[in-house]
Amino acid sequence: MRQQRQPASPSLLPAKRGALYYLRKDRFLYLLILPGLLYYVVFKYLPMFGIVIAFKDYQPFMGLEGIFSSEWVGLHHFKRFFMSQFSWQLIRNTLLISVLKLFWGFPAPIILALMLNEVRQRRFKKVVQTISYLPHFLSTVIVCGMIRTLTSTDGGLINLVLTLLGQEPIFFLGDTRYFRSILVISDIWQSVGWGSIVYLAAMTGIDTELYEAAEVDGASWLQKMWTITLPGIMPVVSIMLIFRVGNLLSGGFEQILLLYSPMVYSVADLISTYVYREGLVNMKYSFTTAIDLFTSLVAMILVLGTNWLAKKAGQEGIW
Amino acid sequence: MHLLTHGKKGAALLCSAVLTLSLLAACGEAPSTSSAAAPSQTGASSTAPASSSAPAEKPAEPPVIVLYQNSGAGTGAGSEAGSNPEDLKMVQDYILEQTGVWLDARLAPKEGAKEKLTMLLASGEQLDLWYDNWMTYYKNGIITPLNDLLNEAPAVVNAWEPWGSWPSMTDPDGSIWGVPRMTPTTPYPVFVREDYLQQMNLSQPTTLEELEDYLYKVKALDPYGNGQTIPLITRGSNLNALEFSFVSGFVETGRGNFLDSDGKIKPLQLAPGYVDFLAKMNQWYKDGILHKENIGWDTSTVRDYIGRGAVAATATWYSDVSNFSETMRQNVPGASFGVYESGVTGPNGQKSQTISRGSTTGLLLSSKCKNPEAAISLINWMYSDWENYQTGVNGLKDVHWKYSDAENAQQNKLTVPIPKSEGGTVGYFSDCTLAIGLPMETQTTAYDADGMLNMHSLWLREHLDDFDACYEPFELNIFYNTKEQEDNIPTLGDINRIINEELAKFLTGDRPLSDYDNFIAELYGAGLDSWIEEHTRQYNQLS
Repeated sequence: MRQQRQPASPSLLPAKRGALYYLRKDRFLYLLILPGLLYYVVFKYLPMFGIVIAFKDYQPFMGLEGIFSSEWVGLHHFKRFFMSQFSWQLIRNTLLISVLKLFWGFPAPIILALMLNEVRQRRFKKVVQTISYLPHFLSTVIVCGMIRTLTSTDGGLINLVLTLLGQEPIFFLGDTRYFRSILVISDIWQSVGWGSIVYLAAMTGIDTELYEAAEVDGASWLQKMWTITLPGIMPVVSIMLIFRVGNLLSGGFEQILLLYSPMVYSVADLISTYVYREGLVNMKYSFTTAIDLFTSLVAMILVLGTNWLAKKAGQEGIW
Repeated sequence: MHLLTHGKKGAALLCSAVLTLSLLAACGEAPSTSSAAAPSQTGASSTAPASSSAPAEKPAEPPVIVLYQNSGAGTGAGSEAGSNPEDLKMVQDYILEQTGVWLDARLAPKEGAKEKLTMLLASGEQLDLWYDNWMTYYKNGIITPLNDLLNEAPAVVNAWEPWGSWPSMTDPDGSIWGVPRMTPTTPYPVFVREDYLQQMNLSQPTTLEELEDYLYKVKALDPYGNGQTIPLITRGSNLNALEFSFVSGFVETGRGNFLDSDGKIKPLQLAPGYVDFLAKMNQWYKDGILHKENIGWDTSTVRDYIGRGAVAATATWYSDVSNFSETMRQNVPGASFGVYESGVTGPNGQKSQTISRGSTTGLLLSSKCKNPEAAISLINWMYSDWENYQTGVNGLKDVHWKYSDAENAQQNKLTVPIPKSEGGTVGYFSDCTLAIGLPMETQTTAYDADGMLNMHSLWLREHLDDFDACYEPFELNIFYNTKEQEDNIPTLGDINRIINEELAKFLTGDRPLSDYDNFIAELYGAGLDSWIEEHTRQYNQLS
């Protein structure tokens, strides 16, 4: 019989040690994390000071010195952004495209992983996995080139089919009715396979005894999936959802930048593409920093909110 | 418990040290003024003059001037990947020999040139010369006035004087902020394919009606095949090129703002007749005269289609055609665009093309330039002799180009490229040119490798000032201060954006023309009153 551990008497407890003692004791481990720490300090935290230009009238040619010496204008750039009649359109597009991608794109890898998990033919499973992973390794430029070619009115496959069916060719990428759908579909196609890996990995961690017990109880494969597999991967699903919500306001900047045109700005222009144009083309660094700061603030609120909701639902949060 | 053996521990620590050091090294890179000068960056060998790695061999390093070549020069066929490094170095070496200055020319990318310029200016790297609108920079102290420097550059001053371009580069206080590159020109002619006209027994269209007849006939004939003939092509993104080519055939005041009867300056979109122009463009779009995707195309795509020989007529910047007509002929033997001097007349009896006024874009000199005298002497050298200009644009004489065999070729500046078969090279594409603009360009008469008169050269020499074939707008010599516009019209960006987006929708039919009044109301809602007020104020001041 295992003996219960007795609390040590106060005189036997180790004396309290200072931080330096532990730093010295675990110096090897601290040295190992040094590059990572430095990376975050140098490339992530120090540049954050540049955020101050959102409240200043900074010109890109002023260099580092200009961050300190440029004129303080307070909330001027924020006011200008919210005064613009396009600010709401930008926020709406960003949220709508992201939510559409989240709504359709987030469950897709989970469903694929669940389906792959049920496949017993190993060769077939590997072929499906390889085919679905491949698009992930194509750069966004290539994928967008493929989309342009497929949807082109000049011999594009989709329009060829439409013409064969007696329909007029459609300029899909210039039509506000189709543009968002193209974004969502191509995004799912490119990311579904790769996204399923993490769920497949989570499924391997589920205790096989649970499946055996369910089989003994006469559960069907659908019941096993519903009552064992899905709850088993739910902690991973909730963490992935929080991560995804954190990126909600990025909306797929590269993809849109490569595909959009003024004809579809009304449905496709995002905060990030607007920031790109105003910042890099029109050189309004302070103005675009202000917009980005606002975006980051909203993203932080979304992450905190999702984390809170996940915990309320009894799932894992990220902290 | 020992997680790692001593050997593994040592290896892990070594990795950690290497990562830390590389990280620190990565963020400690100094501004690369020397790298800008290093000929190795331009593909030069160790014999180049300004190598920072061999100061002992070259104790007196020549001044280095860094040029961001975003003038748009060097867009001919084969230039996509830029100059061959060896050819570029030959030109740089020659310029160094002649001027004592090493010109570090960095070619702007075909797309995203402005973004790269912004990054270069923000990065703190050496950047001395670039092309842009001086009004964007002069108030922030980014560029330097040239008044004193120009005293040492008589060739530059004299070259531009007869063209009347200095006022466009001068602020109200008399400071000159750049070397001009533009004069009032006629850069948006309608070029029509002569071979197609012959095929259909038609002559060059003189009226919009005749042009339309040609466009619809060519659409039906489909001479390029597979339904891929493009009857009319224009530059993408907006309607600017279409407006320049056609709008004065519909709007009495031509392409540009107009002075209304109430004495106020108003935008083109409010002018009587503009809706008729839009209706015609919309009809052409619906009927397939304009390609469905044209508005979404970048300039490279437009040039590519012209070069392929798929285009029957153009309403685009002239050099999109003139620089690519040779490529087109190689792809479609016998293809040629005709030059019709008299232009096309619109339904209102006016010439349909509007003259493009000179612009405030020019060659600008950075206020951070360490050797402004060297920079201006370099520019002056290029303007001082036509062969120097030719070196910047086409490379070395007798290596990249030569005088033609025609009589008085040297006197008449008749040139031909030297083909590879004759030991020549075609690997240089205008990287080092500093003298873009009509004063020097119009002196050249170039022939292509087939011995045919180069269309670009012909157009520049004889037709870029065909003012009789165009409508002259009333504000031809008014240069609005764009910086003051930005400052005084808080919603200028919104107004411009509404105009661009909504006009594209009217063109494609996404928005019906019956909604045009609502569009105008939207413009007023976005602050058009302050736009009108500011433009009227500036106009009264400037005129």
